[in-house]
Amino acid sequence: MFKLLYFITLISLGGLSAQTKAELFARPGVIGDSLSQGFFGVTVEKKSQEWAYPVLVSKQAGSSVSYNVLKGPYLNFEDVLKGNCGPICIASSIIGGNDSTLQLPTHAGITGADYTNVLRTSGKCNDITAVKQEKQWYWATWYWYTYRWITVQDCQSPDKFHQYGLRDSGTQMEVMEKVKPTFLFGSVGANHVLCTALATSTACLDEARFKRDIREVMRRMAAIGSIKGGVIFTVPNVTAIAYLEKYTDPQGRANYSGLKAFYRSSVSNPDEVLDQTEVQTITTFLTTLNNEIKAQATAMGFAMLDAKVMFDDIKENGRPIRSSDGYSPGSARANWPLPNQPGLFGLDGVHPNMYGHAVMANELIKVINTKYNTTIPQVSEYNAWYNDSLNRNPIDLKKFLTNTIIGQVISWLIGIFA
Amino acid sequence: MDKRFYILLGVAGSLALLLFFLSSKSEEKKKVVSTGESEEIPIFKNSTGYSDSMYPDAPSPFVNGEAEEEARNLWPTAIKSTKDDAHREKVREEWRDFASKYPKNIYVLNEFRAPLTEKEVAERRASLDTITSVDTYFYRETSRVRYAEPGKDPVTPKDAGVTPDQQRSFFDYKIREVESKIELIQYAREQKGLSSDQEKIADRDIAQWKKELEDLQKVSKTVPNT
Repeated sequence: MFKLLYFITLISLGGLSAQTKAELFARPGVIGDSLSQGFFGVTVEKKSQEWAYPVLVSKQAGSSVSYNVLKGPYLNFEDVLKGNCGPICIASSIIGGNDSTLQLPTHAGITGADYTNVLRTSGKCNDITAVKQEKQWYWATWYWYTYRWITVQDCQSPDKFHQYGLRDSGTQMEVMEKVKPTFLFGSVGANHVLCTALATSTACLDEARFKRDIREVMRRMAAIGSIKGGVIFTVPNVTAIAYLEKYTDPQGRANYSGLKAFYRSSVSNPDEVLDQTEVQTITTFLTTLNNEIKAQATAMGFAMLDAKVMFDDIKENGRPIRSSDGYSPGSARANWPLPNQPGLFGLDGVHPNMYGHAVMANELIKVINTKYNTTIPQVSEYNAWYNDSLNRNPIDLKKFLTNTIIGQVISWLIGIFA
Repeated sequence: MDKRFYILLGVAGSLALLLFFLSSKSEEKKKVVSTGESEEIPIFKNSTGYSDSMYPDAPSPFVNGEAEEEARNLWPTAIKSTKDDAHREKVREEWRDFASKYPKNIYVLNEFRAPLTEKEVAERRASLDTITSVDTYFYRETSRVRYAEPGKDPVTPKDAGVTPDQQRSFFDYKIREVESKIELIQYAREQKGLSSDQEKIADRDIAQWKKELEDLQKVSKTVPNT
């Protein structure tokens, strides 16, 4: 009798779980940044968009998201360095464009975006709230043609990622209001703090703007009324990414020592490093930012991945990779892959590679399953590693630093994220 | 009787062989139909395309059919994107042609130039340090005022923040970079390498880059000598 009851309970729980998954993922929607769009050293293109975490999680949940497919801008540095992309291919990807487009994408994540951009930047205007004064000429009386000042929208073209990614569909927020998603991928926090690592400066930190805009985004999301669940993650420690490396000033000057960009051969100015005080400022800001993200996740009833804890763990212990028959290429590190040393990142040292996105997707799936009692299957990380060209055939970027192209690649990267 | 028996046996044997041959052919056809993209199988079943792989003994996950299906579902473009040696040779030829026409173009990789001397290597590293330092300085300043109150003009700083030498080096590189982009697009157009939608974007981009180039050339002349 007890066994029968147990069996019936299991069946009904299974049924409930399946129903919940189908309901949750009936129409997933995505707001986001380069992580969700699939930016990969140093471009966005069809193959990298396909491996981005929201696309993987949605597919694993038996659903899908739709998006405008990009062919740039800029270039796939791995392909260039491996001799797969020559001058014509580079020219084409610098110009960029769309491989395919949609009237209304359900995945609106855009490279370089933060919560402010979610509210303000569309595919047509850099800031939809920006206004300017303009003379409006009119007949004041039958004998006097004159003007008055009126306020009009100041629509300046956004960057190409917004142009190609959003096109005519509005801001990321407006897209979600039209899509009316049942499940939301809502993480756009990273660029509120990543700028510090790329510009080796704390000047871009703006707590008030971050709090104001994430709260407004979540308020408007809640007002849509269709969202049954979602997932959001904290921002990893940006001072621990592969883009930065430890530097000790040979003359022992404290403000010349700290963390420098990996491509610098020396430090000639305190601005070129994040010193101990600046690292502490960033750490404090990051704690505030992540506490706010956690509070929003609770308020919205979303699953929450502590990506900071996850990243710290990988940085400390690596991520084991193992095939079903026990083969292991070793544990992956929080770096770009090197010979016989698998890695989670692309060549910019900032964004995950194909394997890294599979890891990210699995960690998200875990918290979604726990929160909503679903049974979304994990992605095979060995399969992702095996088919990841950068992991299987690594590039030692430091051997290419005397190529003149490097300066512009770095400039491009800093320009997007600083 | 014996003769007829052997004839019948021969006919039956031939028929059996024919049937076996036909059935194996149809089995082959079935296999092709079931995969849908039979030409990609070699990529999945062995390490072709990863000839320079660091992990030659890594077992293919595709011995398990589910893993192959997973890869096709999750990473359809990535698993097809492995380039072969013929493609790489075509790209090398393209580079040689481009480098001969535009030897100063910054996008040309070192392997298509004369080998660098030790002095040149040191100069390149120093140049990279300078360019990225100045670039970062400007992006830092830009990010500081990105969300400045409308109507408030920024104040020009009294100190330059960079030395004239650094700034000159930065402008030189930026000018070469913008020229290089224009050369790349010109080359791609000559080779009919742009799609029709990209032609329109290229027109806009080139117009913008030419304006940027003019500004850079003009301002670079104002950098003091000392």
